[in-house]
This record gives sequence, structure tokens and C-alpha cells, in this order.
Amino acid sequence: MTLLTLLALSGCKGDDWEEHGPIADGIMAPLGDPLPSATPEQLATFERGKAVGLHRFRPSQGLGPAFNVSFCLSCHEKPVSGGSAGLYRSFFLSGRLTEDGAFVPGESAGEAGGVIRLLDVGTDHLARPEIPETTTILAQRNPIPFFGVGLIAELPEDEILKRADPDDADGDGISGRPNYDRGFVGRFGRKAQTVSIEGFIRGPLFNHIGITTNPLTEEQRAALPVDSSGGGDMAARYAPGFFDLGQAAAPDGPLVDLDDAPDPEMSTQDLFDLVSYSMLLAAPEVDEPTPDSEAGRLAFNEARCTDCHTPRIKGPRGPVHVYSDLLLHDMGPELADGLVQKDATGAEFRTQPLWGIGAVGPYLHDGRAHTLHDAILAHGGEGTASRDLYAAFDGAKQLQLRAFLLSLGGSSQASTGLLHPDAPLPAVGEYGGPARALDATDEEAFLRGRSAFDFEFGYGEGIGGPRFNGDSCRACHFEPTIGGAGPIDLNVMRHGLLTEDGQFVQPEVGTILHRLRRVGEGQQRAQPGTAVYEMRQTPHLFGLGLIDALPEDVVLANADPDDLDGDGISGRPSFTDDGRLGRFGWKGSVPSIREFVRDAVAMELGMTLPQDAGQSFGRVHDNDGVTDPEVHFDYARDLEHFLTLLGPPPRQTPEDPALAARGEELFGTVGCDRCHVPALQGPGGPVPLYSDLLLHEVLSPRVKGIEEASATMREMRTAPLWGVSQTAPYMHDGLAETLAAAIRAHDGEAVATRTAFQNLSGEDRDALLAFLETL
Amino acid sequence: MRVLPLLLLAACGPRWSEAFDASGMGAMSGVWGSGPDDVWAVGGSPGVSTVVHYDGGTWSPVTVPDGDLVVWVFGFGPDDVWGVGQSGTILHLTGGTWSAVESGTDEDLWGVWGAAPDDVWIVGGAIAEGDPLILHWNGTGLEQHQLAAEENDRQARSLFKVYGQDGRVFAVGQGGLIIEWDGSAWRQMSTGAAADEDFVSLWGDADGRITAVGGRSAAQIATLDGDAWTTTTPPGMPGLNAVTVDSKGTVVVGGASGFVGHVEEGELVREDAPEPTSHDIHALWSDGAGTTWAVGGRFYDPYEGTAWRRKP
Repeated sequence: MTLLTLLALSGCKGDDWEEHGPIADGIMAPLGDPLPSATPEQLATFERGKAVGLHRFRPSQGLGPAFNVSFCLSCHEKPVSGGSAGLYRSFFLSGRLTEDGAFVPGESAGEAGGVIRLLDVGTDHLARPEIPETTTILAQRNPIPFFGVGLIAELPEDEILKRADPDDADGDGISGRPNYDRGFVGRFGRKAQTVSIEGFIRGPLFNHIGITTNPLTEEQRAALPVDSSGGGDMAARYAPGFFDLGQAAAPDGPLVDLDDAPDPEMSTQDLFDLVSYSMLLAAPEVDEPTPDSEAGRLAFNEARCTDCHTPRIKGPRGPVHVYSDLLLHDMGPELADGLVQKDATGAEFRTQPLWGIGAVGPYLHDGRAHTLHDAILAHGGEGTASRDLYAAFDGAKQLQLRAFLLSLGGSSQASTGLLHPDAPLPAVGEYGGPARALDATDEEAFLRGRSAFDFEFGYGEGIGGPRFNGDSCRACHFEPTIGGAGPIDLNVMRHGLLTEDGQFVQPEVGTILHRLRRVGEGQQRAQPGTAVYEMRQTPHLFGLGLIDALPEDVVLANADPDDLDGDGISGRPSFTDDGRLGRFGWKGSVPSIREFVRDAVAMELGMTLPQDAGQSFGRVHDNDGVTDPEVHFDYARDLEHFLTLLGPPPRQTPEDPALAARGEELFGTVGCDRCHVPALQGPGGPVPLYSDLLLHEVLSPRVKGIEEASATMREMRTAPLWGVSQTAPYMHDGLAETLAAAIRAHDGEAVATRTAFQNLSGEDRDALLAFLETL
Repeated sequence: MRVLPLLLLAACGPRWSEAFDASGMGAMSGVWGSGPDDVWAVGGSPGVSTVVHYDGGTWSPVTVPDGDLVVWVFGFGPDDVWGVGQSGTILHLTGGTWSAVESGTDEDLWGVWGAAPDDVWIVGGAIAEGDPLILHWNGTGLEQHQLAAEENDRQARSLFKVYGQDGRVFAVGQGGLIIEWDGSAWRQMSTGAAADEDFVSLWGDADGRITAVGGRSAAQIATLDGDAWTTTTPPGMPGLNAVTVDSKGTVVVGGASGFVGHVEEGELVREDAPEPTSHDIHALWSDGAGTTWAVGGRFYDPYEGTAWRRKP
């Protein structure tokens, strides 16, 4: 047994298992690691399953048609794979009550267990799926960590049920009710609405990613790390004495959807690996006690936190330090979300396990609490007495209690974002590395800026005032590493209105249709009459400083707004209202890194900045109740330094150099280089960005796009091609899965070039693509 | 405090046994007969209809027109039997021959019942989109009925079964919806807050008691009391798909993963299945002479069936 502490307190109810104490051997490891007891075969399955969890699904592989995310571990990434996620991965569950009181899950682009989906690529026009007006309950949810779920699955039902006190018969103000799923005690989900891990994975796969699956076979269920086969007698599960076969109670039906990918879109082998990976995630490894954490443990008891956060439950391997009774408790109007899930009412929530809690914020079901202190103070209902006892502690004692919570695993892996505290500095020439060798001062600035880029804000710091897409810069820029591009699920949705004669009108709230709003404010809906939707893929930011430094006349030298040379290619510079040349953004609307930072902080994070002389982007005031400015001047400067120093994407070594060289020739021959100018001359030499940074009309005449700054509805800035090999998907909407598809999607001024590409021989097309893959 | 599910194990009582080997017949989904010597069981797989007949001694496959999986079967006698199924499949036995009836839809049809040969109701609909489908056979043709949106506040896409007695007709469906035909339109009935999952089937007894069962994640049972239904969710019990009333007046139910049982003094009592199976029980029918038939299966590849019989 591992010794957490052998101290037991008198005066606490229950048996020994409800006290802090020894923990079963072989169940703990650093966050994200497999169970120490895993066999070599299971370890191989663990790695395969993790790879499945990290796989970015594409529409052709079954993503969608409606979806929120494109891969499983997008919502379980903090501080490592298997964990939780920041506010930018929060989502909505919805529903309403009928006249006779039944809860009906809401819909958006079809049924998905009440999950509201943000993107839909299955319609003939892109749009944010509508939420019916009849939907009256809209609850925000933040993803939960998976650490130790296999151990929770193993817990006998009796061990959970014996702590239930639904009518508070002992009069301590704490009840505790089980939820049931398919006849078994639920244990997973914010409301313990699910009993089987297979079900807990298949549901979100469908609801959030649009990936269909068939149930695992009985043989596969029997081979899972937690035997889920039902002991060979499924019917006997419902006989007395067979309470502990809940893992066998996974949904038995196949799932289908309406996209073109054949169902099931994930094989049962991949599903098996994914379920196995989850079951094998070890319990968070607790820290050695310190005087502070020991004092905090006593304070934890004194505040009666243990009444619900049961320190240990007896599992088949021994005591499991889950710090939860896995029961439902009424948390009062303070936390009620109105959402009914199985037997759980709108005010009831499962006691959240506290192991690893220090590394998996934000906290509470909707992520409203950015700190443990805020989370404790947000407790209501049955948690009121404990909250008040904590609040009555002096600051030092509160700090000790929190030190105890931090000792429950993961604190050494925690960071203010996703970067590990000791994340190395990539070398010059590597993705995420600086553009040049840095002296100590620049290196310190680069690292500080990188941390700022990664830093996740909370509501208390002003995030989302009142709307937001990300809670950090890294939230959208991480492919293939920090500072990079974003997957399709993080596309920004823009929208607009049209006049009768087709002129673009900007909605009152601006063209961005944000993903999220602050808790309790519902979801941002498109302005009535919206006729134009446009997705914007997150471009990478590598080499931004080199673009920023390009002299204006170098860019303007390629401009030919009236196509005076008659080559069919125009090229208009984008200018801000005050006459500055735009360089950044899909429409070239942002003139500098400094303005880019201010724009992103305001428009993507929903936060205010200080005034900055000469700068016109950003927002200095909002109405979210948080004192303005919400970010410090230094924060913006740190980001600016980081982006200025962030190196360009490294060229990739071609598998077939001769083929790539042939492709480079063809790149010019077919005319790609007329807009994707290979290099612009910067102060330090040529900058090989493969863009002229000018606006070109490249969208189909049928397309109604977004008007922005000086760009018309169908004009886009020539997207730089450096880094394309590592930053799929492509085009402004992210709907081109491959480089070939991206070329085919060109229209307008690019039709001649596209046609020339299509007329190439197959071998030449391959050559051109091979060249692009070197970028 | 431990809350024990209301689960009782019958010490002795009804015995279940295999009726016939349905493993190679696709998923079995419906069973009905005009009497102990004339019982039909239906099922199949995508693009394949399976119909088997029991003559009092032997179950035999019957050739039917090409169609899809047949979900439900109901009739008025040995020579007037209806079968409905997926992709708009409708079969009609008359003159000793099964023939296809043009349904006018390619949506799935889940249930059929009639008060008379010229008064037959068929219900269905897509699971995930659209509106419930209601068809009525008036003796010469099919006509489609609409369910008004205000009569479907549970937003059901599908209706699963239809049944009637004593001059009343009811249909059950997704989200706990139960509707009644008032002679000119279908009206939603109150089923209560507990009815928040699908009702899958319903049946009644000679005394006018009607029971609807369902629940996807856990059992849901409703009984008709005048103009409203009272719904309960027995804790710790699986979702139910099938219900009938045996010759003793006992309400017999079937559900997920081979669950079979009956309702006794308001409680759900599990009965011993004849064999372990992961197949769901989808249909029950009692012949009035002591035998209750149960069929079920696996409704995805590989499609497999189960067929059991129960003796009191």
C-alpha cells in the first residue's frame, strides 16, 4: 500500500474507507501515464488508443456532418492527453421541459443527446446550426478528465450505494443519490449519467465529432482492461448479486449519420483501442505529504468536504483515492443548470473526483471557476455548509487546504496553459523555434512571450466580454506546435447580411459569430436575416516577424489592381482606413503584429487592452464587470515579441528530390507563382513566404463572402504557402483536406492556373504536389 | 443508506425455452398469431425479409415478396395478416399468398395494428429526422395522416407501435410520446415527467388495462388511467421493448440484452431466460392458451435472431 497518510480523524461518519489512508499499489502514475500494472500487450493497446484519440478526423473520414471538435483528445488535453480542457473547449447541452414536465433534449443539426454543435459541413451552404426557439435550457459544460476512469469502472456498486442517503436520513444536510444508466449505477459524466466507458466514448464520438461506431463485440468487451463482457450472461446482469457488471451495459446499437462516409466511421478495433486507452489511464499520483498539505488535509476534514468528496472507495485492487462518492448532490441554485440527465435533476451533480485536481482547471461543470478558491466558494446547496466553513478560515488555513488539494496529483505537471513548465526551446530551424539565434535577453523575451501565448484566461480575468472563441492564443494556434495553425473544428465563423441588391451589411455585433459567451449568457445566435456565413481556418503564425518587416514598397511592387499587364491576375493591396498596408489575416486587413495581437485579444479572447498610441485595433472597454483593461500592456508586448521572433516554417526534405525539383519548375510554369510569389525581399534577405500579400478575387462568382476592410466579398489575401505541409486543412474555410483539393478549390483569377494544373499529366501533378510538401 | 432496486427473482414460475433456431434468420422483430396453431414471426436484415410460420407443431420459413427487414406483424385471422418493415416495406397475406403493398414511402415502418380489416393503422418514421409517419388502410388504399406539431411537444421523429381496444387507438413513440386517435385527429396524451425516453410497444388485456413499455437507458412503464398515463421507471432495470398479456392476465415484458420478466403488483420481476444472449427482445405475443412467444435479435451486422417460448 502506498502511504498517503495514516491519520484518521474522529468524528467523521462512515467506515475506514471514507478516511484518508493507504492507497492500492500499482494504480498511480504521473498524469497521462498508463497503469503501472498494465501488461506489455495492454501498453501497446494504450499507445494505439492514444493515437486514435489524437487522430484528426476529416469530413471524408466521417467528421460531421455537424460537429464541435475533430479529435477526441482535443477536449482531454490538459495538462496532458487524457485530461481536461480550457474554456475554449466548453460546449452547450440543451433541452426543454414539456407541459407535463418531461425533459426533452435539444437539437442542433439533428439529434445529438442535447449537444449543441457549432459547425455543420453537411449542408449546401455553411452555417452555424440553428438552435430551435423552443429550446429553453442551455447549459454550458467544460470537459472532464479521464484519469483513473478504469479504476472507477471497477468499483463495486455496493461501495457506491452504501454511501447514498437520498432522504438525508442521518440529518447531516448531505443526501447523495445514485444515478442509473441501463439499470446500473452511473459513475461517469457531470451527472453520473453513464455507467460504461464504452458508452461514455461512443456517445461523444457521435455527438461532438460525428463519428459513427458499432458496439464492441462480446469478445472485444471481454478483452478490455476492465472486463465488460457481462460474464457471458447478459441477462443475468439484472439478477441479484450481479450488480457489478455495469461495464457490460454499453449501448448495443450501431450509430449512423447522414454524411457520405460509410458507417461505422470508426472500426471496432480502433474503438477497442480507444476504450482500452481510457481504461488504462492511471490514477493521479499523489505527492508526498508536506506540513502545509497535512494541515490542509485536516482543514479539508474540518470543512466536511469529505462528506461528499469521499477520500477512498474500496475497489478490487484495494483503496482507490477518488475523493468522490460518485453520487448526485443538489448543489442549489448557485450551480443549477436545469439540465435533466437520467435521474439527475437540474440542480444535481455528481461529486467531482478530486484526484489530479490541481492540473485540470478550470473548475465546476461549466468551467466558471478559474481557481480552486473560486470553485470552493461557488459551491451551493448541499455544499453550502462546507463552503461557509472554508470561507470562515483565515487566509493561511485556506491556503493549506488548497495545498492539500494540490497534493492529490498532477501539480508538478500543471501549467498556466498546455506548455509543460519545463518545455524546451526548439532550436532555430525547428517548428516553434526562434527565427535566429537569441541572446539571453531575447531568449527570455521569447520564452515569456510563448508563455503569454499559452496562458489560459478565466472568466474572472475578463475572458469573453461578452463573447469569445479562445481562452488563450495557443487555443487556436497549435498545429503542429504552439504558434501553428488550427484544426477545422476551431474555424472562426463569420456572418453577414445582404441588401436586396446584394450589398454586404455587417451585423450589429460584427462579423464574428463567436463560439462561446460567458456562463449564463447563452450562445451567440446569428443576427436575424443573416444571409452569409464564412468559415475561417486558423492560419499558422510562423515567420510573422519576417512579414512584418517587409518594406511596403516590396509588397506594392507586385500590385496590379487594374490588371494593366493583361495577365488575368490583378492583386490589390489592402489598406486600413488610416492608410496602413494590411499584411495579416485572410483578407489582409491587419497591418502589423502589434495590431494583430490587439485584434486577436479583443476579437478572439474578448478581452480589453490599454490604449496604445498609434494603434487602432483592439478594444479598451467592455461591459463584463471586470475592470478594464483586462490584460496588461506588458502581456501584449510579450506576445508581440514572441510572434516577431517566431521562426518561419522549416522546409521539409523531399522524399524524391528530383520529383520535387520538377514540381518547383511546374509551380512557375502553371502560374502559381504569379500570386504565390516565392519570396519577397526583406531587410535581412529574401523571405520565402510564397505569397504577394495582395488581395485577389479567387472565390467562385456564386460565393457570397464576407466584406472586410478593403477586401470585397470574393477577395482573399494570397495565403502564404510556407508551412503548408504541416498545417492542413487548407483554404480560408479549411474544407480542402489535401493540397490537391486546395488547388481545385481556386476560382476567379486563379481559374487559368487551376486549369493548367488539372491539364498536367498525373506525374506532373504529383511532382507539383511533392514540391508543395517540401514547404 | 443503500437503495436496493426493486428487483425480485421469481423462485418458481414461468419457464422459457428456445422456440426455434433463429440464429441464421437475421434479426427477429415481430410475432403475432391468430391462435395457438397459427403464429407468424418476422424479421430479416437489410434487403432481406424473413417470415416464418408456426402451425402448431413446426416453424417453417415462408416465401414473401422481396423487401426489407420486416419489423412487425399483426392480423385478423389466418388469411388476413399484415407485415410492415424498413424502407417502407408492407406485406399483406390474403388468399394464402403474401403480396407487397405499395406504401408510398421509403421510410421505416415500425408498427401495424387494426380494429378491423378495413381499419388498419401503420406507424413509423426515420429515427433521427423528419416527422412521425402515420398511414391508415381503409380497405382499399392507404392514406397518410399528419401529427400536428402541437400534438408532439416531445419532438418525436418516429412512432414505434400502434394498438387499440374498446374503441380507442393509441400509438407510442420517441421521447415518451403517446398519442390517441379521437376519430378525426391524433391527440397527444399526458405521460408525465418520468416519461422522458422512448416508448417502444404497448398491449392490453381483456379488462381494458393497457401497458406501454420502453426506455432506452432504463425501464419505463406506463399504464393508462382514463385519459392520462402514469409512468414509472423501476430503478436498476434495463430498457424494455416488448409487452404482452398472457392467458392469466399477467403483463409480460422483454427488453435489452435478453431481458424477460413480468409485472407483479406494480413491480418488475425478472424471469430466467433460456440462454445467455446479448440480443434484445423485441416482441412478445401470447396465444391465449398458455404459450407466450418472444423474438429478438441483433439489429446490425451480423444480423442474428432469437426466438423463445414461455410456458406458465
